[in-house]
Amino acid sequence: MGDFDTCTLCPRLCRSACPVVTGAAREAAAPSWIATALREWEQGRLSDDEALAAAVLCTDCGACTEHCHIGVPLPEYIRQRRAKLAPADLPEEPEVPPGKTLLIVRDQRDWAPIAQRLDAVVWRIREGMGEAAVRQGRRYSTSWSEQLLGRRLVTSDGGVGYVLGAHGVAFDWLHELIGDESGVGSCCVPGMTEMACCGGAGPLAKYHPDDAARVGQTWAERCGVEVRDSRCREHLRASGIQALDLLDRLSS
Amino acid sequence: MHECGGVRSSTDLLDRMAAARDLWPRTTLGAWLGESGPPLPERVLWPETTEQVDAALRAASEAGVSVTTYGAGSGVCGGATGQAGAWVLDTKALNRIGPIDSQRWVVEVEAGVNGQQLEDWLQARGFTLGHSPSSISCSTVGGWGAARSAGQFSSLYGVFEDMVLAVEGVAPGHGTFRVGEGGDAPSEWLPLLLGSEGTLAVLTRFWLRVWPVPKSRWLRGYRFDRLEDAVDAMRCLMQAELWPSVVRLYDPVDTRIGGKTRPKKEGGGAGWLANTIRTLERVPGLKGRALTLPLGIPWIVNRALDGIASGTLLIVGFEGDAENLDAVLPAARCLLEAAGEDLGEGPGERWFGSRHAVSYKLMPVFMNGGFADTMEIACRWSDVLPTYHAVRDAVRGRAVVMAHMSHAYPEGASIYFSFAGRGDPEVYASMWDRALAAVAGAGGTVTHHHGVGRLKAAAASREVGPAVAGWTELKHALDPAGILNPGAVFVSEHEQAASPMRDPLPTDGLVCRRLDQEGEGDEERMWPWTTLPAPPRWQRNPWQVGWTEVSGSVGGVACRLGRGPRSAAGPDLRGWLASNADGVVTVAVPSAPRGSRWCGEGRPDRPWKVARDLLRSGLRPAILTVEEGTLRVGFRGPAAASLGAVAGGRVPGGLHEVPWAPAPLPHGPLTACGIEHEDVVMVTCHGAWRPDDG
Repeated sequence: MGDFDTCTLCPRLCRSACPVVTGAAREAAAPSWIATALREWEQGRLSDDEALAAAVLCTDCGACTEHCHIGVPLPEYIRQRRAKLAPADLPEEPEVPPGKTLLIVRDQRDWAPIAQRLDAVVWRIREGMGEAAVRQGRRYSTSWSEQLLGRRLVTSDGGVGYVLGAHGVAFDWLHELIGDESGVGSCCVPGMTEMACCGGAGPLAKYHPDDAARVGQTWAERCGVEVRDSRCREHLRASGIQALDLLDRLSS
Repeated sequence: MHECGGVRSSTDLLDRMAAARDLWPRTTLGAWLGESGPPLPERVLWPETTEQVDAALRAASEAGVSVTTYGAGSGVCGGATGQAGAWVLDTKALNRIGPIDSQRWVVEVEAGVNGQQLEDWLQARGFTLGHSPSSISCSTVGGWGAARSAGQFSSLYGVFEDMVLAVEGVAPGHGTFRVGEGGDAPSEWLPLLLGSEGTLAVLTRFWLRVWPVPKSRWLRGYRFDRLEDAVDAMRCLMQAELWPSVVRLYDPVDTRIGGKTRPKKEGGGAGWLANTIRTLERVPGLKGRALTLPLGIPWIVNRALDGIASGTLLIVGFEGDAENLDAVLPAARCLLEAAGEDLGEGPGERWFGSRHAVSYKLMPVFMNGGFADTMEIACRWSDVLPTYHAVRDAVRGRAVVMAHMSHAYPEGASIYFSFAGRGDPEVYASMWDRALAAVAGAGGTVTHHHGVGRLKAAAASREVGPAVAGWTELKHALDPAGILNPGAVFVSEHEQAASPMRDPLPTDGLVCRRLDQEGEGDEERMWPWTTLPAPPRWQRNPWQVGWTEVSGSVGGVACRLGRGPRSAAGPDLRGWLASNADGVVTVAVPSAPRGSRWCGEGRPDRPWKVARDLLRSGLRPAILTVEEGTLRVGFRGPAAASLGAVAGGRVPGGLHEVPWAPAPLPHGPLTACGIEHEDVVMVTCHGAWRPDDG
């Protein structure tokens, strides 16, 4: 593995591998640029809010590290800094029955602020805040924190999807957290087993079909994949990944 | 995010910061030194169509703000480093590829498409662009056009402007236009638009020549004791009309410290520089400063490196049809092995496997108190060694220097220098001043394929001299308010008197003559157009070069453009100078190589189609004409007879040998037509052409 510092100012080979840059065309989403922004924050030239806005642009897919000629573990670096930057206040979460909830955010342009709020939930808990919250009497559980995967993917219809493999997260609470001001479309199926979209028909597969298949494979290995979008199902099947049809499950 | 003129845009600080800089090492150095950074634009816009680019430019004009076009931001000359308060047009949302015309071998592609994505898309369909800069993964098609890029296989496929058949763009003072094949704008615009780095228009879409993926590839390394012998071998190879795809020469220092003659260690790992730095950093007090000492005494380091360096490495490659390679390789190997030691396939294969490893290895230099930068220039063959030594002598007191030569042509070559110096902005500036002055003094052009940007704007302005009026004239027409990328490419009109065009030496592969004394069927010329300029590039095969140098006077001030294989820096003003100079205009044109020749004739059905098919099979005949149904094919050079035999096998009915009989090439104006048209006078791999009656 390479020294992180060498990644901030190189010719940005990672940009072409990043599905967020491919999907959103934003220079600011380039992995090396995010790392540059975080370096600027560490040197006092960017505020916490500005740095967090950069840090949440990373989907943690790891494609940048694979393409980096010296294997710089950018997602790891970004994740570490993001954990330090997460805001302290979390909204009240009501008690809900056991189950898994999926949320897909479909707006490739304005999802960053939404993801920022969701990310705050995810990463605060993953950094152990759940334990403190339990001690404070809130209803977070460590099992929930372990299952909050917080992965973001490029969805099959070209949006950037934020997928929560969350145990017992209330849809209404999540929807309230996201807000409707950006016109975000969302779907949520409480109580169903986990779903994921590999981005098999979106920009990820268009330019990086191997990455799209790999992301789908990752989901399949972690928790089984039930794919909502027919294009994604076809893509995963063509890649040899067993994908279950959610609609078949619902109707059976 | 907002909409600006109907175009998605952002005023977020992160977007503005990300789009404020490219990879100009001066700004990289500034970042490591804690400088405040380049000026921030006011807004970043992502137009998704040519119409949106037009809307954005109109909105910018109304707002009175300057506009910087931004592709992948990997330029190294500050071309995309804009002005405070500017608007940045990020082209990455112009990301559509296709359609591809697989009959004509032409692809349509938008400016924001990533280079590697385009190549992957083409290869999935059996084609290649043949354009493989080391920055292919971090550059865009639009950026290639903006900087007049050149790839690692330019010796075979040409440089980027050779690949362009047409361009669509938008200019604030004109609106949307298309120039080139099927275009509505004057054809004279195209050589000025390419290389204009966003100062004349925003280029939004390209129509590019493509080629079938080569079936065979041959790569080999040769070691030469003396640099002079290696350079001579390169020249002989290029002037023998064998058309290699790769010719890369590493100077003794680069050969020695790059380790390119030796296999890499198993498991890869960091290079010797990174390992050396890590070792030094373990010494107390040296972390972050490991290179400060050696880079502070570059003259000693240069002397030491010269002392341990010995021998040069030349990597040569051919690709294409296996039968074609079999025809040329014996002659190529004979040329190379006259003074070179065959090292086998290893060096070539190693280079090929790491050819896109862009300069990430230089980052430790910045981290440890230094700077690293590169300079690519071009010159005639006879100026290669003098220029190489002049630059090394000029900068050796400022920076550690090594070089390689990676773009070779019959009429000259490019030299690519790498520098590393102490991380002091004054040292950096002084080094560049001395390097550029040395190039100009030795007869080279100050840029080959990186573009001019802001780094070389003053030097390019001096080199172009009064011919800058051609760019200024078009600038006034297309961008009357001057909003497009101010400060880039040309900064002012420098009426510096140019040295007269020196008569070429026999090794230069050039012949000079007055433009008003053009003769017909001049056998001394490699490509005998009846008059110059030759037809526009899109009406010729990429390897058919009209002229390399043009000199004349503008307003009584002497001016010389072109220094061997490329025109002067920035947009190609040679055509403008030839048309607008007062008094005598002198041109240097490639001369026909001496040596063996072979010519044959046949009478196949559909002779022009057969002629095009010969070109499409990878052959590059010096003569390819059809007269009264007789197809004539001729080759020059040490492989002439072998290539003639290959051609004969591909012509129905064969070719019988006849005395060498070149004919003038049609000079135009020409118009595209079908291959079966009765008036076809010329074919390229990508089209057929007849005289333009209009």
